Amino acid sequence: MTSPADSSLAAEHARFDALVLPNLASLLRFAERRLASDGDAEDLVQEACIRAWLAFAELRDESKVKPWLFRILRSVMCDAAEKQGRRRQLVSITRLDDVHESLVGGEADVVFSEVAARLDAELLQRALSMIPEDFAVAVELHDLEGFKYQEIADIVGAPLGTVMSRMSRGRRMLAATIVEHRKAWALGGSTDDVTATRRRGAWGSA
Amino acid sequence: MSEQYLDLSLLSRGQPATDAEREAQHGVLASLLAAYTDGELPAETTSQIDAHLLGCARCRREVEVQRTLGARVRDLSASAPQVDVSGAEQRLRARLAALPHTTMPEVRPTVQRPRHIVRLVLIGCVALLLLAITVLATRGSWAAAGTAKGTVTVASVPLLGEVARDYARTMSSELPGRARDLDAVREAMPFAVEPLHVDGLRLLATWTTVLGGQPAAVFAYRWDDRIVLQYVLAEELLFRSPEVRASLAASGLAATGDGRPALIAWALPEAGSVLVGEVTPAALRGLWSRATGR
Repeated sequence: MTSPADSSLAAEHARFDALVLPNLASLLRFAERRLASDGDAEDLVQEACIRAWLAFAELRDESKVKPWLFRILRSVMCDAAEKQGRRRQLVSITRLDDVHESLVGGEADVVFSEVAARLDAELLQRALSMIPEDFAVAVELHDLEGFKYQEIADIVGAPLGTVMSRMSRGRRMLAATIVEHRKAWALGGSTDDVTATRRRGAWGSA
Repeated sequence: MSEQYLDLSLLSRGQPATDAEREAQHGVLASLLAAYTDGELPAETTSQIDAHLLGCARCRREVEVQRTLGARVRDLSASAPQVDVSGAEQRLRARLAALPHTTMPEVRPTVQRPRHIVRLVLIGCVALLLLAITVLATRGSWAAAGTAKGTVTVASVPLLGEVARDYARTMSSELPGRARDLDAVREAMPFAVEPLHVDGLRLLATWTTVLGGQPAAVFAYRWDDRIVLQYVLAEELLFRSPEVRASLAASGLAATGDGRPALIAWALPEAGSVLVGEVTPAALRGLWSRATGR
């Protein structure tokens, strides 16, 4: 015969499964983007889910389960990064600022919309891995995971104004990284390319 | 860079600004353009940026870059293939099942109520009813005493709850601004903003944030080995709460009586202010009293 305690535990398991498991794919994608190894990513997501299980009673509002889980995952990943002293090769921020400045100053020979249109998921991931983590995380949480700015502030434990600044600066650095590597990544998009295309079009229609 | 709301009237068409002012304000504006593009700014700030963009090609190009890149990244996310997590799910379930019972969370038990429990509950209800009658009878004097002391609770005043949450978030990370951004913060606010000046209190940083959907200024002070924050905000936010109004009318302040962090709210000539710190309410009141001369 099942005791009342066992029935309650089974009910909590079922509630946990219903709320947490549908978010597993998002959690894994986020962790895999941040880490070099898919195996490491799954380990950290499992750790986050275990912490979530142990803290399940603290989830008061079930509609906020996704940002709650991401906050826990972020905490797990920060703990792991501290222990491992992880470092990544980053593009010089000063260089990125210069590239971005020429882009918005109207001096660059690049049509950014053309370059962005040729970007694929793999190159996007590469570009995100080349900008500082705080900025990349903000852009990923908003543009890839669909969180609002206030939710991102709660997930990363930063004030709303800081998130606004990171989003702006993160996208600027991402754009500059993409432009900086467009030739190596065969993204084209120079104003010469656009002029040549228009010229061919004019000849073709003549 | 500090996160700042900006009075953009200086940049609107027809109004001159020095090159140095324009450059400094563009730096601040750059930190808001993603939020503008994503619809995350209050309506008033959005309108100000709309007006600025009419006359600034550089910022229009910046908005275009933000919009193009944001849209492209979202498109790539939407078209990404579904990840097969069945293996990961199985491994997670196995790991959760392997947890020893001592690590299980405390589960709220379903309670079965035998008859004697029901009797006890009824007796308890009667006792509560008698207590409620007593409270109602003395409510006038209690309320007067409470407001005369100026005490409120965070739970009963949404503004104080929002300030406490913003304080907690700020204390868990690096302070956003610097003390020399004070002029920019002053320019960004629609009301006068002045830090406290009192011995033993040193301004470390200042920035802007959003409270109740409106811009607010924040000052971070060092007080001995602690940080206290002062929020300067729109006066209508402060006077919105009936408890705060009653406290202010009775004693000139509205302060939390217990718990941490301690908060004190008071009215400024054209704004409101809330002081918050990880100290006792009595200590914070003492600081407030020295700072305001009340």
